[in-house]
Amino acid sequence: MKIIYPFVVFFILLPFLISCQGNGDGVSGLDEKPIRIGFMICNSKAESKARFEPIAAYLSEKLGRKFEPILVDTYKFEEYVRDKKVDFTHTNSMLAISYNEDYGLKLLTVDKRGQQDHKDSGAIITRKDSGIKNYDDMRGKTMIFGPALAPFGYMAQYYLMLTNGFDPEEDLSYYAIAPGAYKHEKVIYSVLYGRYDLGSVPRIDLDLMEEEGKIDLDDFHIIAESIPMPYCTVGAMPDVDPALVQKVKEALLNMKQDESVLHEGEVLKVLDRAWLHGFAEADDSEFDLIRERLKRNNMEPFKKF
Amino acid sequence: MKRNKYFIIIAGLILIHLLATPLLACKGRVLHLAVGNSVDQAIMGQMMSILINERTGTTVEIVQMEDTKAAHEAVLHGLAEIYINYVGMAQAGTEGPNALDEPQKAYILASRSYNREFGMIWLKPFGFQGPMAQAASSGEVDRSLAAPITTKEVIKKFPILDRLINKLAGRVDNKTLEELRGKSENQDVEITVREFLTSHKLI
Repeated sequence: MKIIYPFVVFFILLPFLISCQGNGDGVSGLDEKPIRIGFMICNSKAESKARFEPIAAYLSEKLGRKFEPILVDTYKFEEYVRDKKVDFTHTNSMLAISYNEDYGLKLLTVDKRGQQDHKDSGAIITRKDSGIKNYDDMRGKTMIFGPALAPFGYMAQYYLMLTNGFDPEEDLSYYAIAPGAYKHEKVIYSVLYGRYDLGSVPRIDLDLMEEEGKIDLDDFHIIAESIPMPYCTVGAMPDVDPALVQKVKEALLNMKQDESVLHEGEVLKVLDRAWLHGFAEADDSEFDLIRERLKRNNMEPFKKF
Repeated sequence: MKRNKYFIIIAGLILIHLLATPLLACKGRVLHLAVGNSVDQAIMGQMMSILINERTGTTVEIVQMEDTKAAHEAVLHGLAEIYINYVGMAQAGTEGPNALDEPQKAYILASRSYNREFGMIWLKPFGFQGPMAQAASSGEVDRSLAAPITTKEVIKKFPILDRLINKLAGRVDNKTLEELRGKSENQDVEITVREFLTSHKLI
């Protein structure tokens, strides 16, 4: 009879083990209460886990404290901040500003990635053969946006349109948000294959997809592109020990391209795995561009009803 | 005999596992739309559900409630994110403009009151007045403006939700609602609503 006990335990626990409620797998080896760093899921949980968990492992190694990575859906992230389920955050810059405004999140560093260092821009694209050249030509056309909580997939383009005398709610014949995962890629393909006339996409995704040979930029016309603004941002909750905050900030800023960490039995180059070139110090004044756009678009945290 | 006993135990555990897993599995981004027990609530609930799903990919589950008050409570306690209310009901027992004689003024006052009291946001009225009685073949209604309601918290998570639902503003007046109800007597509400949204280029 005893031989059945492990099976009993296994089957009882199995539903809990495979459910989606788990948040990260933690970092082993250190005894103190873990420091929780929430990573906004980009594209997919699997991709984000592979990209960001080594950063938490690196911080554990450098600071001698256990950092627990927690992967969080974009639209659930605020609950983690509001309920203090995280100590540090890694989100897009729009969410970082929202939490900075509403919860006093401190802006520490900005990811360096792509051709614009620690910044990115938002582009409005169409097929080169669409005949659409400017805002006037866009009237009556269809458009697909990236996630509505994305600074360079929605916010930047919405602002561009409003400030150029084009009201997306009235002047487009139809618009939609790309469904499911990998939204930015879906936007680009939706335009390329003619499902929508116009697309709203981060510049970095256009460049990366071309580098990877997935698209040819010559097939597209960029109707408008925003000015560059801060990219994904690391923040600290206001109640975290300032000394620890400073150490985390320094560890990130000083991270070299070839630095590696042992994570889940593999030695990984941290920045390469995260698809980053490094981290830049966050300059609050650079985020004013995002604040201004959120206000003009009447979006949170400045939304007026 | 002993082998059979093990077999039964293991089979029972597998069954428990299969039953438990769907309850715990990922469902992705889901909005819950609470509807009361009236014809207009059924039609407009379905309409918002299809509109949101088609244009954002977000799953919308319609939650059937006993009445509008129960739907309000569901949203208030975070069990649902959207419901449909009527200015007249919201103003019931309060002083102020009459919801029938001064509908716009009554709507604005109800909006302010719900924002202040519940953190709820009245979106733009659909155009019709209700609720429409469930059984009345003539489409009998208790007339005051109907409008969708959500919360600030929900709009924070779903930033285009208000903009999207507001595309229905003024599109469904009493006559249109009566037509939709008539069609729904002969075919599924979902088909009726989908036809309406497609013909208005809303999906």
